[in-house]
Amino acid sequence: MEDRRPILLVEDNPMDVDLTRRAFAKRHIVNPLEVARDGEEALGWIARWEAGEPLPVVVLLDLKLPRVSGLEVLRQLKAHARFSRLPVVVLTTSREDGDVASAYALGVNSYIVKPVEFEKFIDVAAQIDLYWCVLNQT
Amino acid sequence: MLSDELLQAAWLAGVDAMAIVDAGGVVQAVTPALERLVGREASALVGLRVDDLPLPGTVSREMREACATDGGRVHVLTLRPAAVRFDRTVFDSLDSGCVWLDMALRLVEANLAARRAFGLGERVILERIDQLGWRQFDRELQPMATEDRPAWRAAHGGEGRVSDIVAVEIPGRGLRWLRVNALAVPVLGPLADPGVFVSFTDFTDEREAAESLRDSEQLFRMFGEHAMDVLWIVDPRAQKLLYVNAAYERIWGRPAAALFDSLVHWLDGVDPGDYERVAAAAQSQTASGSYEVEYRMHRPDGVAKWIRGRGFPLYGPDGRMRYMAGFAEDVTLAHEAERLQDAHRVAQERLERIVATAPGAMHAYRQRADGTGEFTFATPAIRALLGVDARRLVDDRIDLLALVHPDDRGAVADSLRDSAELGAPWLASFRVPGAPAGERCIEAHSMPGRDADGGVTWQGFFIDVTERRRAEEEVKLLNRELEQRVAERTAELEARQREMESFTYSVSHDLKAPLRGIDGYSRLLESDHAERLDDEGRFFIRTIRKAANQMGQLIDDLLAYSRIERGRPTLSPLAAGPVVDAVVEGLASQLAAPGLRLRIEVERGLVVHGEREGLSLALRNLLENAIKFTAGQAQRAIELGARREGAQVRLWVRDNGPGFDMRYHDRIFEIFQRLHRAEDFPGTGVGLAMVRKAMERMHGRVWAQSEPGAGAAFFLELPAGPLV
Repeated sequence: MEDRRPILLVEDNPMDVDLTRRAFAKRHIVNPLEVARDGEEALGWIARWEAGEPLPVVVLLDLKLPRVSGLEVLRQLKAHARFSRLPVVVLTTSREDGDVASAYALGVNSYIVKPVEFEKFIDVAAQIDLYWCVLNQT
Repeated sequence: MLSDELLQAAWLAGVDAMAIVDAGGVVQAVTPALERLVGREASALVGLRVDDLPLPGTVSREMREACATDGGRVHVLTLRPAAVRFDRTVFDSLDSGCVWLDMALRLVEANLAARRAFGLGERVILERIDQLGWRQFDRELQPMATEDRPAWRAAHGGEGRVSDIVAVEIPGRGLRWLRVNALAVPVLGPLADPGVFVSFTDFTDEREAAESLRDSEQLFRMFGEHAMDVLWIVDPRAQKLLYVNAAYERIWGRPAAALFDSLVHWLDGVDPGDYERVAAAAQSQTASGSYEVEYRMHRPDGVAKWIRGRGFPLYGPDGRMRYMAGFAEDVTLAHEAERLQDAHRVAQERLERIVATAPGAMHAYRQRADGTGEFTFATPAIRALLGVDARRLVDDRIDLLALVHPDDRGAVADSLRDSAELGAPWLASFRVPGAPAGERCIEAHSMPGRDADGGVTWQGFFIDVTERRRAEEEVKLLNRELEQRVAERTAELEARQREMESFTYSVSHDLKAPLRGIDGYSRLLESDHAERLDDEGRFFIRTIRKAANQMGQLIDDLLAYSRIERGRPTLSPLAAGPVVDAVVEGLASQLAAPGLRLRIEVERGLVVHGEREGLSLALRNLLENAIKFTAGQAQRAIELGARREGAQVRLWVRDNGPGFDMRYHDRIFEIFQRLHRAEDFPGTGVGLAMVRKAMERMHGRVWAQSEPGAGAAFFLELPAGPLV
């Protein structure tokens, strides 16, 4: 049974948001895509979930964000009493060792480097869908 | 004619001693005077033959014939005392004292010597000596009884002549010692009565002289026996030792008896080196009279001594030499003291030289029990350091603290107290403002020692460290400046590094995002709108996507290249074999291409000093290149090898690709430099630059050997690690 809860994408680049949306569409991912355009907006979702809005199946988190950084968003999510078990996948262009180590130290569930080639990006979307939206929910 | 009665009366009254002797020579009658003279009664005398009368020898006899009253013939014997004529002149001329005493021991007459001896006047005093109050003593000085006195014994004892010694206590003259001769005399002196003749000589002075001589001899002996030095007296004529005191046996450790046997034994034990000198000195004593000599002497018990001998003559009252006397003194201690003094002087001189040439100034600085301080010793150099003359420093008992800079006084006092309490060296430095060359910085090195009175004295030296301090300060300042500059430079570099990192981060993130757009939308155009494009349009889109992907690759390589530099290399011993295996494993799919032959020649147990990531990166790049450049060959041969070369480990990758001209050797290791066209061999021109950078990080190197058309060989060299 597919989970129709939303996917929260934290991404400031509108083109990446659009491409992600299209890649998901190519893979027939039906979960609604919620978008937070910066770290602050992402943290704003915590209050909304507390208020009763449905939790996302997964949070896709870019690291390089305006205002509040992706790592800070990750830290607050993983430190939250109720939402610490919410799956968070870092989806970023940075393959820096420091970023990878910091993200895992903060409890990220997976770390994925955005590929340049669209086909590979579609593969990534497929993996996310399979693992986080399908397998992980059953 | 006289009647018989008258004659009888006259006979008896006569004063002459007479006897009537008959014709037959027999005594018929005696006068009382005769009775007295011979000391017997008439009855004992009448009837004796005249020749048997016991007459004293000192009478003269006269026999005359007389006519008796009856007409018979008788003889009359008249005895008269022998004529002892008293002649005062002769009597007074005698040296001995002479006195006559009557039988009652009354003084009858005394000559001049006796009067003088007894202090008597010219007049004869007929008194008993006892009555003069003179007491008499025997030779043991016991009071003498009357019957023991020589005069009494001569008068009554019938001993004839009596000789004795008597001590008489004479008023005003003290006790006089007399040698007395007493003689009973039948008829004596002017009275012609029997009495005692006493002659005497006064030997009191003689006796005292003898006694005093005995005393002084006793004193001399006592003195000699107690003397520390040897005293000796020799009779030079007889060559005999007369006296030597006990000090000889003590100092020489030999019996003195041998010396009394022969004076030669004086030389017993004398050091052979001094023997001749001593013998010569002893010889010279007879010539010049006195001598002095110092020599070594060895006792039988092995102890060696230094002796100073002196000899001198002793003269008699006649001015002629009677004896030779002298001293022998044990001067060993004095000699040792002299030697010690010599050693001390040498040490002193050495010390003075050291002190004079030593850097800084020596001092003895004392703190009294009450905490006040003074210098008790200082070398002249101290003036340059403290600004006070060494002599004045000591004489005026100047306290060090008074000379120290006020700001340093507390610290100096504290350091002195700590040193005194712990008995530890006093090490301190302080400023002295009053030095001649301006303010000085002084360093003190001293050892404390506790004084008997509870004070503490430090002995050591002060050094002027002003110049050193100045230099040190300069060095410190320079160091601080240098550190500052290094810190600035480091901060600058770090800032640049951060800038570079953020730049590459931006490149990674920001440049790749548009690329994703280009590629993504091109792909969407191609897939979703293909029917609107002709072949040329589709070719354009493929080209756009290829270019975008190439650019993505370029950006990734650039990031990889810059990542090599980040962080400090962590070099450690690293087994080369497993690294090679891992790299080969990682490229297994490409190496499995048909027609490709890989030969691996790696020595067993090779260890390099490096880091795994760097070596992997270099090897992977070289192997990827070999794979890439042999792609056009029908028979692709790649060789991967490693072996030890001395202190280095060399690894290589050889291929049979097209090779290159060695003119371009250096260029191929520079970033973005390519020797081949991209359509022949794809690549970004970053790979070999990364290899070189990785090798440099590990203190290794990379180089290549090639010829166009003859393949290429790339070599890596790293320091060998310890053998595993």
